[in-house]
Amino acid sequence: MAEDKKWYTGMFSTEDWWSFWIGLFFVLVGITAAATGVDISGWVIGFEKWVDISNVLQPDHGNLMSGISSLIVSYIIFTIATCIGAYFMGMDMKKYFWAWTIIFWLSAIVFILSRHAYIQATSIERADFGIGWSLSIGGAHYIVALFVGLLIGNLAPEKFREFMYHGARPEWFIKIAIVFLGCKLGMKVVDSTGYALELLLVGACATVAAYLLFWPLVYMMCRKGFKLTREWAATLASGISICGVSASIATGGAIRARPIVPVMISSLIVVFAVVELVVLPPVLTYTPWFQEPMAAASSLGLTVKTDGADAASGAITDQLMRTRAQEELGVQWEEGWITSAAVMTKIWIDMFIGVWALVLAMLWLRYVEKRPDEKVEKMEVWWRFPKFVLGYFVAWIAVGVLGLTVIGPDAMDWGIHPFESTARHLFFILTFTSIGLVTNFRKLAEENMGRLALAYGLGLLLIIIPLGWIIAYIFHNGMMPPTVG
Amino acid sequence: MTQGNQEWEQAQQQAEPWEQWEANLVKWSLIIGVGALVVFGALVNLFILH
Repeated sequence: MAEDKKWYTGMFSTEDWWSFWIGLFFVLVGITAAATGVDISGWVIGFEKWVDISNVLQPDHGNLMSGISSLIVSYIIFTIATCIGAYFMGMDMKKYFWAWTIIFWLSAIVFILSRHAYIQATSIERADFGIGWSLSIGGAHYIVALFVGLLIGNLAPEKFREFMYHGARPEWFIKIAIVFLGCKLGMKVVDSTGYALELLLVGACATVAAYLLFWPLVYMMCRKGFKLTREWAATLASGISICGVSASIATGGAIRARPIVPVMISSLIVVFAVVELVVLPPVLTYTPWFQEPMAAASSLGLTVKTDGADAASGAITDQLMRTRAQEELGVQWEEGWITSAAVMTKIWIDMFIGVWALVLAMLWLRYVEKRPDEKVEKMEVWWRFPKFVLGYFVAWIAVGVLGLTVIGPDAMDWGIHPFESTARHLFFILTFTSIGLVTNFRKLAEENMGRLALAYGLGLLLIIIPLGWIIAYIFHNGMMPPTVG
Repeated sequence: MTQGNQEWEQAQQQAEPWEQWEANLVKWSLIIGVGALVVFGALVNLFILH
């Protein structure tokens, strides 16, 4: 398999690697700012809650420039960065540029409008804004961005929708945001090293157990219950059990399935992930799961099957739960821990796909293709390894170690905050808009896709979600996010 | 008939019989998974969560 590949193959041509390069480039900018005191990172645009619209746009370092300038500078810099990646990935540059531009400004408008205090202010903040009521919907900007994207992605003229696919890259945007999230974990290590490491460890344990239970149960359901062929059953089982689209593609490659198989299953995965993204955060927030916020977040990592939708649902749950905790318990949980728990579990799952693809490739050669003597490249594990995860860990370790030693926590926070928080939120909303744009519900209406959808939906409802909840509870019960101060 | 339709029909009509190696794959995955759940679950609850 893949005899001509080297260990560095794809380093400058794949989405995973370009998440790594772009994410770490900005992390390096932040660390350089922290080390030198030169403000080269504070230009990143942030969107504050507002009643007077002139206050909504704020650069991360408030005095560096005006809000409008910050928005334009952020657009220019992130456009250059992603266009470089798009160029090396062989995209149509002209189409990527214009589609990205539309997505960026559409997301910015949604972000601005959705941050109005009447929509997002908590009951505690109302007095600060001089308002008597508010909806207190933390994360409303993400939900609105998703729906705007869905409206365009499903109702706009077909030519325009196809054009927007050139820039709507939710998996790429979220992987860059996840590298930034590594910085957040790095800063949290500075504050609470033990807790971050515990979260890492329990996430790994939960993933190992979940992985080995999900896959065989779904595979058996597909083969025995739905009478599917092996290629369909294995690809669907990997997609729904492991890491969604990339798992179904990796499995399809490992077992040499026809290209149509992972493509059709991937379209189902994306649609169901969006449904989960909308349904699960409020379900977890307004049920007894609220008493177990870290377990609830971890369950998202186990049950929502795309990186984008998982991190996005983690971000919404983070906002919703922190708002509820502040209003009902009078407790202010630190931002980002709930998102981190959702992402951490997913990252472990992503890392195992290489190993599982190798196992399946060996089994298929031996038992299906009857060629037991053919060798499977062990390097498949590395080629299948999600490279953005490396960026996440490098960012985490670099920020944590330097923040604890030579640079110091305050300087590190000043330098890295624009990326670990502000840019991360920006890339989150770009992800939400893009998820909406690429999600085509019409796929489900196609004749007989409904039956495939039934197999997927039942697998999700009867196996993945219940088991995911049980496993998340077993490995995270009693863990609470640290409180502010 | 759409391509998806054809593929689905094919998938259902030509499903291979369930073989012993698949049963073993499922069985051993479940055994190791349950084992991991019990062992790791006990360790995590004993040494980290409480």
